[in-house]
Order: sequence, then structure tokens, then C-alpha cells
Amino acid sequence: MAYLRLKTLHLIPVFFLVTFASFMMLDLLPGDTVDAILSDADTGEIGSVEAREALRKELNLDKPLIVRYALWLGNMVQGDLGRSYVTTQPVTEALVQRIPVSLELMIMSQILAIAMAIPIGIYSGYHGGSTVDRGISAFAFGVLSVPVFVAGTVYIWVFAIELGWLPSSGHTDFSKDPWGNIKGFILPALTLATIEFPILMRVLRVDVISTLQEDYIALAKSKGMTTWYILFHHALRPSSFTFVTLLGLQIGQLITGTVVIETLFSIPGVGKLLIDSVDTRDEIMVQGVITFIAIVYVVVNLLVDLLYAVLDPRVARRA
Amino acid sequence: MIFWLATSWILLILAATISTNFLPFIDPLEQDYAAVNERWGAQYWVGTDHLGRDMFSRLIHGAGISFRVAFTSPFIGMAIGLTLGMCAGYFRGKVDSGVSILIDSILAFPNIVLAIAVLFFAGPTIINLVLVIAFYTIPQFTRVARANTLLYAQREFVIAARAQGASHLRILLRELLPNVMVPVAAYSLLVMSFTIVLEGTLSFLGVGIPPPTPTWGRMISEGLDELSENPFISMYPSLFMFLTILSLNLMGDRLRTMTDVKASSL
Repeated sequence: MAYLRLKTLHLIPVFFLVTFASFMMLDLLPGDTVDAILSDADTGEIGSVEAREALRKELNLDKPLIVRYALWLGNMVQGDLGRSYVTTQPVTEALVQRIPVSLELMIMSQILAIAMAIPIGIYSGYHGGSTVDRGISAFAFGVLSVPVFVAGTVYIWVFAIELGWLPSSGHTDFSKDPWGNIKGFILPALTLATIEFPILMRVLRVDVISTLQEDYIALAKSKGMTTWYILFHHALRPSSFTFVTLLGLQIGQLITGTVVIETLFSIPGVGKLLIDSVDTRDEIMVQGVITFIAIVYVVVNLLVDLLYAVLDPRVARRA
Repeated sequence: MIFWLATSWILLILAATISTNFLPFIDPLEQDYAAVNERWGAQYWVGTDHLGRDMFSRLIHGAGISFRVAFTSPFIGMAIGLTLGMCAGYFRGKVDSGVSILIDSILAFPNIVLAIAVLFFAGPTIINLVLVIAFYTIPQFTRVARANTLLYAQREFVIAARAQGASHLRILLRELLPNVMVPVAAYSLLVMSFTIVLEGTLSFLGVGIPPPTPTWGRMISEGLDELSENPFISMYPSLFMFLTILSLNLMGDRLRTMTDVKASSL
């Protein structure tokens, strides 16, 4: 319990730091903030006097910095991240529409990554040191040098254009066309999974090699259990703990990957929203999406820490 | 053997990039409408893109931004990381926890998101790009510097220096720095590969250095619409990026295992 309290307490300064940094972003804009937000990139118009006054009021620019931050934070906690000046849509509404899409992509890619990592990792560990094992390790090293957008581009070229098996872009609602929805997600999820599975596989391989040297494996063998049974029932279980840790550590990479993949495959998720808003110079939307991602990231990291302590009580006791 | 191949590739690209300053390459921005989507030939060695621009020249010029970031950001990060890590490892206690909170705060934003924020709100200039990428190289260097400082601070020569009345600054600079420097520097190749990936990702997303400057990341994204007509527009820069990152990782991995505290003490 002390560990949980300590970890949660640690969240408080990080939360304020992250939200303050997000809040201060608008102040980085060159020149007057109101001019920067209202000015039209094409025509150079800077908006009417009334619109400027309204925005100045909405952003509380007439008040001191700390008061502005407090007001902004108060609104944010109530789920109000402001309103886009390009589409007039509230930021929170845009986020709520897009979160399920990003979640579906992330979950599918993680399932695929684990599905690829487990058989290859176990095989590689069981035949540790063999030619195949060394080949797999070299392959994994190579894959880790491929940036996610390069992998995606190659996949689109091979699977969507040359072979024509899967669509390269386009997203359909699951409720309207379930199969079309899943089909649209296969290539993006496969790209993310390809980039992530070598890390999981490598760890699993090392785990299997060390587990196979334990006495209870020799006992299981001498009792006449099949290799397959031993590998899945005895060797895999101690590795599940490392898996959880790794999935936690990879969340940052997963967020980066999702932003890239959504842009590449035109999937209307949170990452695409961010990049589209950058393109249309939608300052309030960019600030809102970044605040949201940062808070989710901090909270998920905390949850992973806590899950870690629940799975292995030694972690909590050590701290 | 592979190590030398990797080194040769990096040196080759580096030399080609530097040579753009004085060798007569075809202008990477010049559009030759008489030779659109051309394949390899005598005039355009590896062909042209959909706008008739020479791809060889664009590939070499595109390496420029990647290498400019790769040869500056890690060293800014290294200087800060060494200072933080050595202070944390040497003084320990409060300094150590202070540094650890600082590092946690850096990692509290996913790197790509903070980079997009800085480049969007403060402007997509090369200085902003280098600084925001440097910011994310600090944690790695700090960790390596701290771990090695902890180790060397217990050694006889440091205790001897202290017994002779050397100041903290002198011990840090004269006794510890030369020893900690080696493993930290060995890490820089891996960090360079990280910075090239990050710069490429930002360019690919269209939030990095704006056009017309050619960058590998944007060349790949520009070629996406042409994949069925001319896949080489995307595939050449993809291959160049992969080979460059792979080479840096291979070299970095070798250097790191040679200098790693854990590996050598086992």
C-alpha cells in the first residue's frame, strides 16, 4: 500500500508539469497569440474586432499567467479543452469520436505482435545457439533498424499495390461493415506488430533459455511430458511477467507508431487528428490533443507500475 | 567484416553529403519535365521522381538534414547528460533524486508529441529540431554516465585523489571524466541512429524541416501517391534510411559491448 501511495503521489508533480507545459504551448506562438490563431494563412486576414475580443476573453489573455493556467486547468478537468477555430468543433468532442479508432488499432497490433513473438521466441529459445536461432536473432536486429513509416510504405507497396490483397487506406465503421473495418485495419496493425514483435521475441527467447535450465523442467521431462507441454505450461508462465513490463515500456513507442500509421493509412484516429490539425494550423486543437495524449501517457505509465506491483509483490516491498 | 561494411557505408554517405558543397551535383530542386519518372540512366543515375527531379542528388542532399541532426543533437545531449549523470553518481543522495525526477519529467511526454508541439508552436527551424531531439537524448546519456560514475567513484585512484585533498571539481574532471567518457561516447552511435529515426518520422509526418529542402522522410511520403507508377521515389530513400540506421546500430552495438560495465565485469 505504501508503494501505491508513493507512486500516486509522484504523479502529482508530473501532472502539473505536463499540463503546464501543454498550457504554455500557445505562448510559444510568434507575435500576438490572438493574431496567430485568427490569422488566415492564405489571405493574411486577422479577423474582426469582435472575434478578436471574444477570443481574448475566451483565452483569458487579460488575466495574469497563473490565473489563466488555473482557469484552463479547471476547464480541462471538467473535460473542456476549448474549441477549434478552424472547424468550430469542441476539442473533447473530436477526441471522443476518434479514441475508439485508435484503441482498435493499438489492441489489434498488440495482439498480432504477441501472436508473432510467442511461437518464434519459444522456438528460438528452445533451439538456442542453432543456425535457425542465430538467423532469427539477426533478422530481429535488422527489423529493429526499420523505422515504422518505412515498414508501412513497403507493406503498402507489396500487399496493397503489387499484390492487391488489402486496401492501402480508407476506414469504414465497424457497425456498418464489420469485415471491411477489420480488413482496413489488417495492414496498419501488421506494420505496427512487425516493428514491435522483435523486442518481445528477444526477451521471451532469453527467458525460455534460462527457464529450460531449471530443475523443475528436468523433472517434467523425466516424468515423460511432451516437449510441447513443457514449453507452453512451464516455460511460458515465468515470462508473462516480463511481457507485462515490456508492453508497459513500449507504450511511448506505440503512441508514436500509432500517430505515424494513422497518417500513413488515413485512419481517422487521434494521431491523424493531431497531424491534420497541424496542417490546418488549428492551434487550439493541437494543444488539446497534445494535452490529452500526455495525460493518458502519464496515467497509463502509472497503471503499468501498479500492475507490476500487483503481479510481483517483491516490487512493492523493495520500494 | 559486417562492422567494416557498416562503417564504410556511413563514411561513404557522410563524404557524399559533404561533397555536395563543392561537387557539381544536379540541383535537387530542378524539375525536368522532359524526364519525369525516368528509370536509371547516364544523365540521372538512379532516375527521376514524378516532378522530374534527379533522385540521386535528392538522396545525397536528403542525407544532409539527417546527418546534421545526427552529428549535433547527440553531442548536446551528451554534454548535459554527462554533467547530470556524473553529479548524480558522484554526490548521490539529494542530487541523485533531483536528477532522477528531472529525467522522469523528460520522459513524461512521448518524444514525437513534444517534438510536434515545439516545431508547430515555435516554428519548424533546424535549431528547434536539433534542440528538441537533443532533449530526448539526455536520459540515455545520463543513465550511462551515472552507472559508470557510481562504479569508478569507489575505485582506489579516486579515493587516493580525495585523500590528497583534491576538490570535488578536480576529481570529477580529472579522475572520473576520462573513465566515464569512454562508455558514454560508445553510446553515441546508438543515439545517432535514434535521432535519424526521429528526424525522419517528423519529416515524414510533414512537421519537420519544411519544403523545398529535401529530406529522406519527406521523399518517402511524397512518393506514396506514386507507388504504383514509380515505387522507387519511396523505396530508394527507404533503403538509404534502413542501411544508415542498421549500420549505426551495428557499429553502436559493437562499441557498447566492448565498453559495457556489466558485460566486462561478468
